[in-house]
Amino acid sequence: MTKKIVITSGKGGVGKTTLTANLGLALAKMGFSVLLVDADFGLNNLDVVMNLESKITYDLSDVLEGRCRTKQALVQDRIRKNLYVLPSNSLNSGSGVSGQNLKLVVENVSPLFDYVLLDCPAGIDLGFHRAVSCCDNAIVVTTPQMSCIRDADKVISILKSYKLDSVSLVVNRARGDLVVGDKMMSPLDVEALLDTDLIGVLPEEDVIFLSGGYALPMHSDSYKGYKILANNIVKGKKKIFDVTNKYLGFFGSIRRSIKRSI
Amino acid sequence: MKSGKSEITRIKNLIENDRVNAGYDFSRMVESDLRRLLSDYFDLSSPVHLDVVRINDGLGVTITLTANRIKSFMTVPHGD
Repeated sequence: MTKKIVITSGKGGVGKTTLTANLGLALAKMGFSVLLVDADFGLNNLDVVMNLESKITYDLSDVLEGRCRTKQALVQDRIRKNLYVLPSNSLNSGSGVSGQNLKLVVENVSPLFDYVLLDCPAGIDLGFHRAVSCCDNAIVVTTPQMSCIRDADKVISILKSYKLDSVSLVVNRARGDLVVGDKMMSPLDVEALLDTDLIGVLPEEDVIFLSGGYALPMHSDSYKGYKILANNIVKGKKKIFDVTNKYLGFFGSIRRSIKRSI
Repeated sequence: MKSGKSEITRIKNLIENDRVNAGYDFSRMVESDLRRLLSDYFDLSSPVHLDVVRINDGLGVTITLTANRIKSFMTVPHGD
């Protein structure tokens, strides 16, 4: 049975789109057929992150308004042939799109895939509810910053009313050097504060910016973090990437000093 | 320079205050129901005000209002 997961956060800019793209890729590399749906009308970027904007013929607005069938709007990924994107529309704000209509579109195409990930817009208004109503599971993305954690807590409270199969937490942009130096909350502290199962920790790395945010190099810590996250989703585990590992001990303190001086 | 531990304390207080905040609609609903109930017993002279705060592991709920008098009402006599 298809597992439908909404990627949400409340606060914007925490890395929902980047996580949706890279998690989808990690699941596809495990052999699953995956669909990524850009449910962010007007401020959509999933196609841009995945370098697919030039391959789009139809998008979600065309499907909803009956100009094409859902399958015609699916865009195949350049890297993995078992990964598809249903892009959104940057011109249409989506104000006339109901949750019911979006849900019908998602349910119509879901049987073709093992996993459907919905990139949810920021905020907790219509766009949020529209995306959440299509899914059975949710991943709440936050960073260790106070404003992000506060908004994530509000989102988690709202998600409880949806009676989803699971609501899980991913901490993005974790700085291991700052956690070791007690200058930043650890991902486990965030988990305790939000009282939600932590299933992924993704480090802050320059390689994310340098690679355009998608298809990260295999040697990078972020790649490992996404691989662990995908494994947790598939197998129901809660193993997390340790961002502090390389900042502990003698050589760790040297790395921290170098990072501080940059 | 901020520390991780001080941030934890601050965000914990922030989240707990947010969670205690019952919200405008909730407060208005409860106050309206309370006014309807209490006006059967009191001649109210002010609006009903509801205040919810966190105390220890629970919530402290305070209802404030003023009344001119207690309304007289009939009770069923014993034996009838």
